[in-house]
Amino acid sequence: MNDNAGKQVINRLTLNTKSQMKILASSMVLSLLIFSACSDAKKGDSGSTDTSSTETADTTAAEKPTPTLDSSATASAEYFMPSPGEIFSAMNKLDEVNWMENATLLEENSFEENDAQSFWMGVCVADAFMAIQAKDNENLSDMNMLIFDFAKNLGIEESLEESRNKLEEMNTNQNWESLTSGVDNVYTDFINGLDSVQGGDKLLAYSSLGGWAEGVQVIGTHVSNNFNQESAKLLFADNVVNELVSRMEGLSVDDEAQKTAILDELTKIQTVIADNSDNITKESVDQLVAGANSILSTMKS
Amino acid sequence: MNKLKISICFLVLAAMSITGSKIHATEAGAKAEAQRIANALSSWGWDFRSYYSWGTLDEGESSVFKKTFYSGNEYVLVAGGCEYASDVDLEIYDGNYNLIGKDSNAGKAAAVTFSPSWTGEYYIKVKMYDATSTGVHWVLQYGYR
Repeated sequence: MNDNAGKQVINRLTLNTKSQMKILASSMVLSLLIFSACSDAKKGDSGSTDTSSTETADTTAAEKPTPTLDSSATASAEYFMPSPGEIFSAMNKLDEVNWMENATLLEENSFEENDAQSFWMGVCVADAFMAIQAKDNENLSDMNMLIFDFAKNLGIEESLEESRNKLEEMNTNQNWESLTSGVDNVYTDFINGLDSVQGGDKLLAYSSLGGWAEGVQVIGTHVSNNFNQESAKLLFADNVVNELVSRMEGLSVDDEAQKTAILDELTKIQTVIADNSDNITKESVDQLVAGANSILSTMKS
Repeated sequence: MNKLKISICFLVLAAMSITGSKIHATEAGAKAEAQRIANALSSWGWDFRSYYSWGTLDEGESSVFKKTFYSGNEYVLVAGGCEYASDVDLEIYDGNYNLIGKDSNAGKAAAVTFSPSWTGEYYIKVKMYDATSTGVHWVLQYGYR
């Protein structure tokens, strides 16, 4: 092999090796490019959100239309049922209430039908919130136990186990700041547990009804005995009653007579609210209390 | 040949990274976003309800709720979007459709605090102002004190 041939061989070898290296390098570069593009896409879902949000923030303030709302948008709006704790929290700011004086404080679960189980569970939830307002550990613990018993009878105790234990622990430690959330967590777990129960929607309606009736009964009794307009206004939120009527009307129940009796009372309450909300009187508050008590009696039988 | 195999491996790895980078947006993702804000606010004395509402929206779409708010309480509402949400807005209106609070800043989450002047029905609007996909998950929760 002369030098030229040797050089040619070397060149060819070099060329082949170079070609292979080029191919390899190209593949690696291509792979890395693809990889880094994917990483940018990952960052872009949050990162470009961040950068675009900066750009968007600068342009958005000028570009975003003025927020508006009208009846066409609200006609089919879903109603967000308030927690019993909200009305008790508001009431506590307006007046000093002896919460446990008029609370039902059920002693045992003597009910058989699922509708009644749910209704009285709602009552116990309301009493639990009131026990927190009253800083009454014992009654809170009792209500917590009863709520769990109702859940057991409905077959959904597993949904509540964790939140119920946590509530008991907070109660033992008198962790008052967290107890409202604790009760709410128990109630939310109960609501979520009802998803797995046949007729869960119906049971949810009954538990809302129970909590509402108990709240009206307790607050209404206090307001009737210590009348003032501001406190009374808390009871005259007609949208809650309207929602309860709407839910009850749509229910398919075994005991139609019971449902009719409840709807009759709710309708009367709607009328009282509609006729008196501009100028609430002690008498109109008494009518609300009477209606709530009538519903509680209906569900006891 | 070995070098060719190595380059194929790189390409396969690259291909895996493409599929691996696809984010699966979920209600859980939106909840986590809202919860992040709620956790921060909880330390300031807010009692957040664990109960929440959720859904999916396309860019430009809104969901409206109605709720009774009680005078005397302060409320905070938090809306969070999943990984595909770029800009979630939140608006509060009174029963007469007057805007009384909003968060229209860009971002996956929005929060509005307000003290209702009267006990009654109010409207809450969650808007998916900007998103990188369709059917983007959102969550709405609220607290009070």
